[in-house]
Amino acid sequence: MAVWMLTLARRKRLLAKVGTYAALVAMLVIIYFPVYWMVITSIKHHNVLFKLPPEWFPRKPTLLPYYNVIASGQAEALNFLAYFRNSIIVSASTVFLSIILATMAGYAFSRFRYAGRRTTLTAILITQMFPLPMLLISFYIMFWRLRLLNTYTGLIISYTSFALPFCIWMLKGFFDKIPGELEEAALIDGCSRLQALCKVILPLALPGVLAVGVFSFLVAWDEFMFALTLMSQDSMRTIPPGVILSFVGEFDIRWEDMMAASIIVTVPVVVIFLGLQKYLIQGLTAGAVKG
Amino acid sequence: MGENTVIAAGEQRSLRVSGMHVSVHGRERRFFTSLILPALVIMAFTIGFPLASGVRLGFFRYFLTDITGENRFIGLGNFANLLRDRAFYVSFYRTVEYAAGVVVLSFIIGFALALLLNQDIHMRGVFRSLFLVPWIVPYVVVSLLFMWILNANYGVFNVILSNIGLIKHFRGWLIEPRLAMPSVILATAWKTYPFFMLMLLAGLQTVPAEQYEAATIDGAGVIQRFLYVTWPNLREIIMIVTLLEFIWEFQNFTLIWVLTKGGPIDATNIWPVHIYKTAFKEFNMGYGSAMGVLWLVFLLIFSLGYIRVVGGKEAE
Repeated sequence: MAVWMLTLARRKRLLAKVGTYAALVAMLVIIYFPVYWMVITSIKHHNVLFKLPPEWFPRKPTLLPYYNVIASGQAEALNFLAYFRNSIIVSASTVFLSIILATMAGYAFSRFRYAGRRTTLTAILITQMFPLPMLLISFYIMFWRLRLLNTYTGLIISYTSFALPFCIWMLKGFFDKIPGELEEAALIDGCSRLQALCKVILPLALPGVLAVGVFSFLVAWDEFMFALTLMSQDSMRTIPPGVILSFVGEFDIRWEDMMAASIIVTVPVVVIFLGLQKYLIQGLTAGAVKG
Repeated sequence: MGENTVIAAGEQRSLRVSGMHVSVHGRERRFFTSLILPALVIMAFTIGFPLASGVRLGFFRYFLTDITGENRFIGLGNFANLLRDRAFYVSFYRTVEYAAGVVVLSFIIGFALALLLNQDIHMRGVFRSLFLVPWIVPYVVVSLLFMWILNANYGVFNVILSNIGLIKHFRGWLIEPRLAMPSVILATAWKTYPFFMLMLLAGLQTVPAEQYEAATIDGAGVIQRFLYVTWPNLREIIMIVTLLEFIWEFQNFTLIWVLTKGGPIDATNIWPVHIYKTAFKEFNMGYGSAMGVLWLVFLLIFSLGYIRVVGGKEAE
């Protein structure tokens, strides 16, 4: 009896385990199908694109779509390399600024007690609620007056301010976990506050700093509406509006080129994310959920 | 909210620091202020000021194209017009429909995956990373990808559905008014479910194992364990992530702008798209700003109510 029950329990557990894996794999297949279709489309020739039933796996794969996209100034007048360069400049600057500003502010919010601190912190989080199209209207008028339309500066300032609230919260969460005794010890050893921060605390908060970097990169790399509106000059466009304006609305959409461009845009973020995801996840779950 | 507990823990620790150094010396105070100031100044310039001038603009008749100087203060004129504007109500309804649809669908997928990943399985990290990837695929790419997949004539979605016998004829997923909203919700949820998965999985992993053991000893089945152990432990996280996601979906412009431009016949004309068109296609910036003011008011009231209702249960 007892032995029979044991095996039953074991069998049940095994079945549950197999069921879990089966469900996970099934979900993977469904969720990754669009990705598969993007890749497959990007290596097809234009003339097999509209075949029905479609070629589930291309018989004659080609890299021509990638060539079309990268070799800029071709027939489609797709300025892809220029968009790419603009996106890199804007995103990298946003990351740089976010890291510096969020580290300073996050550290101060974690350590410095003053009247109205909670209010400031809540106010920072509430900025997430502000309607972006409304901000955009004011931005447009403001940048138009300041002659910041079609400049990197305008976009960089915008994106930094979008990313900052969340970054400050994430980093505050990280700093909260670093014991204050560490600085006290450093201060007693004769460090200044700034030295204690740079030499003792920052190395420990490095995961948080990386999380902030990844987060702000994703924000800047993905933004569309502001980039579309504040950069009207084609040579200044970032990838999102650049790619959309080149493909969407065309009479004869070159889907295979579009998918190749999509993959080129996605690869950098996936690489960065997979490399640093540990920190980003730590930052989001610690700083956002519990914060 | 959860911040109370964490902040309380942090407070105790750094009270000592603040007692010893911070509030005593003006120099320390200056140091910390100078750390906070740059971020606050930037945010004041790029969020505070535009918000204030946006609110102000809501009370003006303001056309960017107007060079005759006709732009003038009209008090509540824009708001009065908005309340009579049928398109405004329709787009409000669409916005709520869209945001709620995305939250519900991605919550279901994300929660299911979180529960699966919380099992004792090999390669959990690998599975988690794989399921997270759609979340970082840029919106522009998601938009273009679904534009191709949902294409009325050659889209692979149509091919698959007709192959498994769910539809007889190809449908125009993005061009039939009744299908457009479900389609954009589906496309958005593909990108947003990982956020729920990530947060709920993190929450699940903080549930003490003893509570499950105790429940099992008391004879609780799988469903009872879920209802009496998992759910109460997760309620706070669920509240925060659903609220955040709802607020974020109010901002979602890219996907709908690319896929439907708010069409067909306003079927997906959510507020971001509607305001954008009002401000940058009709150049009626005062009217667009007034809509933004109402948006802000709505979200603030909604958030407070939501926290009160969902969070209030905590006290019982």
